[in-house]
Amino acid sequence: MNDSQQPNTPDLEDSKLSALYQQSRIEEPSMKLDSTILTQARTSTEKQPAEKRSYFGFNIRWLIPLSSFALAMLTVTLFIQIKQEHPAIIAPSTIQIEENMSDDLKNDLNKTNIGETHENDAAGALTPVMKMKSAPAEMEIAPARSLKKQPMQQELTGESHFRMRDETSPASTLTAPSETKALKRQAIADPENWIIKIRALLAQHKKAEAIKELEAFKAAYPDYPLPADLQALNK
Amino acid sequence: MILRRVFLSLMGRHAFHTPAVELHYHGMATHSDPTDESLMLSYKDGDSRAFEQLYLRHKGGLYRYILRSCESKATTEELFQDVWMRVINARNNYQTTALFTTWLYRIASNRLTDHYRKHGKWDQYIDQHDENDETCAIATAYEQPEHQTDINQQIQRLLTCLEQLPALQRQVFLLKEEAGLKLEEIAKTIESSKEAVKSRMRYAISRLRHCMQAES
Repeated sequence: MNDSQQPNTPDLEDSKLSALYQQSRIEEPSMKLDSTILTQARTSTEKQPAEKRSYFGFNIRWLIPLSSFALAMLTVTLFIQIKQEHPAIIAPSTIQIEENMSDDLKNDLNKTNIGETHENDAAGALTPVMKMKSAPAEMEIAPARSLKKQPMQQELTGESHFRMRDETSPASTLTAPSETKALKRQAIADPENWIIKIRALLAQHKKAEAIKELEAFKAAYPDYPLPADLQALNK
Repeated sequence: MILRRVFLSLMGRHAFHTPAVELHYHGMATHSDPTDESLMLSYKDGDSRAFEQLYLRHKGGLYRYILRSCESKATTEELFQDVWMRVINARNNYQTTALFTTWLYRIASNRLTDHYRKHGKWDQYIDQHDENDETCAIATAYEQPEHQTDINQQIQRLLTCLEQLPALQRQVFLLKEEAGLKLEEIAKTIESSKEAVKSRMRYAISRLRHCMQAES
């Protein structure tokens, strides 16, 4: 196709041809079609989610995420502030403390409860050495009131778990059944009382048990000066 | 700008009761009127009255563009409605990266292409696209019929000739006449090169001239 056959430029829009065509532009969509489309357009905007609408340049679809974030920040701030000003409110409950107790402490607690069955025995009052080793757990379940009277015992065990409790704590009610036993053990733990108990065994002609108790006493208080009568028994 | 948006948003929820009789609007936007793109953005924000303005501006041109490209009025109405439905449904994703007119007629062109493919007329449509067709007679000059007195006859003749044009040549001619697009914009609309559009336009005008002469 050579150039001579083509119009010089495509822009040589034939103005007469174009004008003629413009006069042909009379067809229009029907009113029914107009109504259908415009109704559809209106319905579509009414169905539009409210959060996607924009007013004052602020897109409301961010409202929910921003509100959630603000609420979370408020909660954390309040928690921190209350924790600083009123730590008791947010302190873990004693039940949680019980749950958080180490297995060793729980085992010791169980041993203590089992040991209560021996309290009825006359010999049960004189605890063997094995039970003395569980002293920390016994101190744990003992009320703070009695522990305050035993500073030496605290030094002996080196434990401080009892500091988590106080006398007003409901947990002290859990230790009530073992309180009497603890008092007895307190007597044993006191070296002077323990020596009295050993002398009582000797007086009752229970020499074997007295020797055992004396060995336990020496294990517990190796530096404690033994009375002369017991030194003879020790030999 | 903010106040205008608020006003349009409020109006869009309450004022959409224009009678269908008033919907015959042939003029294009004037300098004081909002642009097509701003109207579409308002509609995106929920202002249905903005859509009404857009529709009034473009309904005639788009309708005739589809009508001249289709075989029946029923198909034209179906496709016309479908194109506007696509505009409505796509409003949330609308961005002013191009002219609204370009976007609208691209949707229409794609819909026409789908229509041709669906009804098995795609091959015929492509065949008509061959611009090197030897049967294409190029008129060297357009001479208005000297004895033409009835303008309506001329119009009818022009429309008949337009129907006989290859589809893609008719497409670029209609996009220029009905949508008022320039060559670059037509190229963007139909996703083709400017040179191809230029060539099709040249052949379309030449064929119409020739056809008009022959008819006379």
